[in-house]
Amino acid sequence: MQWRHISPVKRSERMAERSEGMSFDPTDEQRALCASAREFAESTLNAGLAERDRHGAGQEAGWRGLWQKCADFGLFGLCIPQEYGGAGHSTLTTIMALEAIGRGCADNGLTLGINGQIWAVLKPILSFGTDAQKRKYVPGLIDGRLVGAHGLTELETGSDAMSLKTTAEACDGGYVLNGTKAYIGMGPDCDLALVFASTTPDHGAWGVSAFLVEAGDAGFERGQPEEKMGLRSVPLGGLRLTDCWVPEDRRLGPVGAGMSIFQHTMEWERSFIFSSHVGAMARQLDECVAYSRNRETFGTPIGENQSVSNRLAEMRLRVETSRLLLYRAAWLKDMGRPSALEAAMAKLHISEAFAASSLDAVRIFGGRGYLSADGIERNLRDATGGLIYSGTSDIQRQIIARLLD
Amino acid sequence: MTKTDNAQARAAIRAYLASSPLAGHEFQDSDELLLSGLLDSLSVMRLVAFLEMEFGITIPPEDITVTNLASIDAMAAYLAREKV
Ligand SMILES: Cc1cc2nc3c(=O)[nH]c(=O)nc-3n(C[C@H](O)[C@H](O)[C@H](O)COP(=O)(O)OP(=O)(O)OC[C@H]3O[C@@H](n4cnc5c(N)ncnc54)[C@H](O)[C@@H]3O)c2cc1C
Repeated sequence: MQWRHISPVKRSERMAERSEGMSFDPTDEQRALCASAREFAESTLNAGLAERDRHGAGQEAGWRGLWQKCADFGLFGLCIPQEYGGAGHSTLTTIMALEAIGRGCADNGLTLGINGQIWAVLKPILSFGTDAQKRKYVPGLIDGRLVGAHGLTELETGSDAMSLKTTAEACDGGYVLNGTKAYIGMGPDCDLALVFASTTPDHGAWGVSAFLVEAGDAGFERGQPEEKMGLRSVPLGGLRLTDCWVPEDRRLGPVGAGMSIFQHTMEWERSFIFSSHVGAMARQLDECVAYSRNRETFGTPIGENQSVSNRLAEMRLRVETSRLLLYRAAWLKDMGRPSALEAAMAKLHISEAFAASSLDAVRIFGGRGYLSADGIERNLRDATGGLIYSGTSDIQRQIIARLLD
Repeated sequence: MTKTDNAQARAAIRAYLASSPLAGHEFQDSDELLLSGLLDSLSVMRLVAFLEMEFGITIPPEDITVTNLASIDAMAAYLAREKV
């Protein structure tokens, strides 16, 4: 089902992946890309993080400058076809690079924002957009000029996302949109929002369509950044549409294709939005191993106590299982195979694993882990959001159970 | 009769629906399956996978709409348009 929609992949990568079956040994090219991504992240993306976390995501906090640096490095275009200005890498190569970014960058909010832009904004535009829409928006989204948002959730409907109340009424060669979205990542500062609205309310979920709304559109208001538990370095907030007219050529996909766009996008988002968080989990483990070896109580390193080493073993297992689920989902995508089940499993497992390991890290660091100075507790606050966005863990379990043969 | 015969396509869809998502339900070819809620979004996803396998076609995501999948009649018309 996906062949028509996957990006052209560099021939050498596709050949390597096909000939080696489901081998995830990185090629020399992938190794080099990951090394440079990690080096870039370590050297460029961490400065000022404690301040950004403390003060939230105002523009002055600097996330936009870092966003531009990520764009200049080529992060947003990793898996985007070369004809639209991307590097044309395979999904697997892309997530390996994004994992390396997470290994080097401790700013989980920023890495979530980067992943959101790739998987929940660029991917649906590439899959459902007309050539004109792709040419209009994709270059700006990958070169840093445009920040995109995925505007689906509404306060009233939450997990039952496709029961949304926002409407889009056909009018004067376009649509008039009315409604309010909530909890939208990057929403307060977005230049472009993919907004889901009902064109045929009688048809329920099957009457939903998707629209590309621009920051300058009359009647489109971006809310203030909300204060939140974690992921504070990037903004999250509401979007309001009040008699907001968008021209017909800004509808994404056919009328009534909103449900399909949602399902298709969720398959990408749930599979890969945690790519960088898997890298963060590996970094977190390194920090915990080093601390367990150095910190002594009762005359011995704490790591020599089985209760501590058991935690490290569990953390290692979580990194490994998370990575395998992530890579397998990428491999399926590159093979053009459907992966709704694998996407839900990856989303559920990696988000829960990151939260569990983040709590274990606080336990291992003790009082020091609880204080903000080392950033150990920040991971726990950041990881908690992952249990909710892209569909809560409860919803993923439901999907998995429903997709059992 | 071959798979390209529309009556056979209808029969195959009917058999699939009767065996799984609509087991125990009475339904006609004209019955509305999506808007009535008889098939939820995950059932539709599985139905699409079935249609692709059974008829050797690729259904692009933009074709997964009520127009093409609302009923067995709609699916048969879609398959005919796709020259299955
Ligand atoms: C950090 C963050 C970023 C986000 N980014 C975006 C974004 O960019 N774009 C966007 O559109 N949305 C975004 N969201 C919104 C997110 O997708 C929703 O918050 C989520 O889908 C849950 O909806 P809700 O908060 O209304 O919770 P509810 O749906 O009210 O759920 C509350 C509780 O009930 C449980 N529950 C609800 N229904 C069921 C059920 N049928 N079976 C079992 N349990 C159930 C839930 O699992 C949860 O525990 C973001 C959220 C967060 C926290």
